[in-house]
Amino acid sequence: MSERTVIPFGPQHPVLPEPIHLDLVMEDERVVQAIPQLGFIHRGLERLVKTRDYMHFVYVTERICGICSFGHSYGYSQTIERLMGIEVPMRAEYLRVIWFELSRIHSHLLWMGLAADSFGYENLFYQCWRLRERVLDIFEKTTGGRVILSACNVGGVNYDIDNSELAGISQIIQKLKRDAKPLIKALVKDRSIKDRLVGSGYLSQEDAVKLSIVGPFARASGVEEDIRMFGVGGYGELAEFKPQTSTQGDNYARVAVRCNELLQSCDIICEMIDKIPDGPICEKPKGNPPEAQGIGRVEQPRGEVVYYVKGNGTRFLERFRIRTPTSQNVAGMVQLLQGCELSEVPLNILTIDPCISCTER
Amino acid sequence: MPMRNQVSDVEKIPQVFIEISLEEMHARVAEHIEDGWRFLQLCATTIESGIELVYTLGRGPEVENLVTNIANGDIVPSITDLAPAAFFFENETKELFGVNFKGIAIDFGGNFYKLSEPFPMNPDGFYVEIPADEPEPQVESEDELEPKPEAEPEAESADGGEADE
Repeated sequence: MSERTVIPFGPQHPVLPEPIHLDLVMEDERVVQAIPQLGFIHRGLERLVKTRDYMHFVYVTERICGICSFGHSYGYSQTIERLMGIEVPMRAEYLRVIWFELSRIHSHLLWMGLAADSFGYENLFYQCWRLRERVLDIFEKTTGGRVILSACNVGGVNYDIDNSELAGISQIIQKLKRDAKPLIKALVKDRSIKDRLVGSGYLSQEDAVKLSIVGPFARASGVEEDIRMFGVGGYGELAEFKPQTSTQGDNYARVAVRCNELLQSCDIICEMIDKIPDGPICEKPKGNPPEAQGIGRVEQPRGEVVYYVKGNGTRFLERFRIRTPTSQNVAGMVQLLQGCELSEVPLNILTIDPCISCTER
Repeated sequence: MPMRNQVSDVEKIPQVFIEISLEEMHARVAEHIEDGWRFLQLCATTIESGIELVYTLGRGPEVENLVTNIANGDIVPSITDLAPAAFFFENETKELFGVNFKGIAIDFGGNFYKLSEPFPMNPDGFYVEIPADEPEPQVESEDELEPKPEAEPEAESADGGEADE
């Protein structure tokens, strides 16, 4: 047996936008064990629920993560609405789906840029991020914010979008879809990128299920699960929804699944804009959350997020908890790294798209 | 006002909460995993009598929550042998609430988040020593556990002194 050495990886590393540390136990160039270490940015936001009114807590959930900002306010609101039996107006549900899918597009474009940069394709990185700016411009125009939108609230949404403005957004998204296709072609067809991705970082469907992996990471291994397919909220109004999957289970499959999801999100937004009904945008909640507990689930760009809330009859919740996709996927990441070459480690971590801010809350 | 789809969101993602004892928990989770359910999350809440643990499992749109109440100092069998992803939640719960999990696959030993104050979500929590072979744990207070690393070198030096003599 070769002598074992431990190589520290992170918390600062070019492929890691957020801090996570890994102790890589090596035998020559091969990783035999990866031990994750978190806790660099733990903020204890869940504890704030005891000192913030349940209506005001929406703004705390938005600040859990910059990229998943809208998704967290959406998931939290949906869980409270279910607990309190609030029926959200349909126009608000449509607007939520539009903003949520825009968030998915900007998250996937951000990730595609980071992936391109890690391959050494700096121009592709700039192109992806330039395209992402269009989505942030839509956010700014419709809500006034580019990162923290404060658009979602318990009972509906805070802002309406004029139908004429929605038509303009539809045109922007259709153009974005056209402009994204050459970038996607470069990511999935370029020979040197394929050489690096195909066959590396393989995770079987069996392991993905056993490890409870979620999101594009799981779907790239053939797990056909996406919370949007259950048709909750505005997603129930879609004519059709099919999760984007692949059976290859390698780094290439994870890139391809995200690229397909980006195009799918463009279609969802256009369909929602075509079908959006007129009407109110918010149903004001009456009273406080009851003494009960409930679960909410939404499909964030990185995968399923589970929200747990427990009410006590007052305006302060007894407990609030977020189960984020990365906290599930860390176990899968550890599995991926075992047995891989040291040179494959950055890509194997990157294709999972870990979000440490969400995970450490 | 436009009508919603006939099936409500509550029916689309049905969820139940089932109260069970701590002794049953590991076996019930194992049954669920065997039946194709997957582990979704573990949540602890501080209650008057100690801590409430909620194990959430999902299968497609269905959600089932297994709820158990434990006292501070109780030893909870880890489910990481059934659901490896639970290592994250068990380490977090151990550090934030002082829940004593036995047999976590990757056990950080209370150094997961490296918090500045012990058990911020449950001030009454405390660690107990979990013996490897004996089923009954010996409860020790947190104050007694803390100075242990310093005590060991003293004992060694005392032995060494006797050997010299």
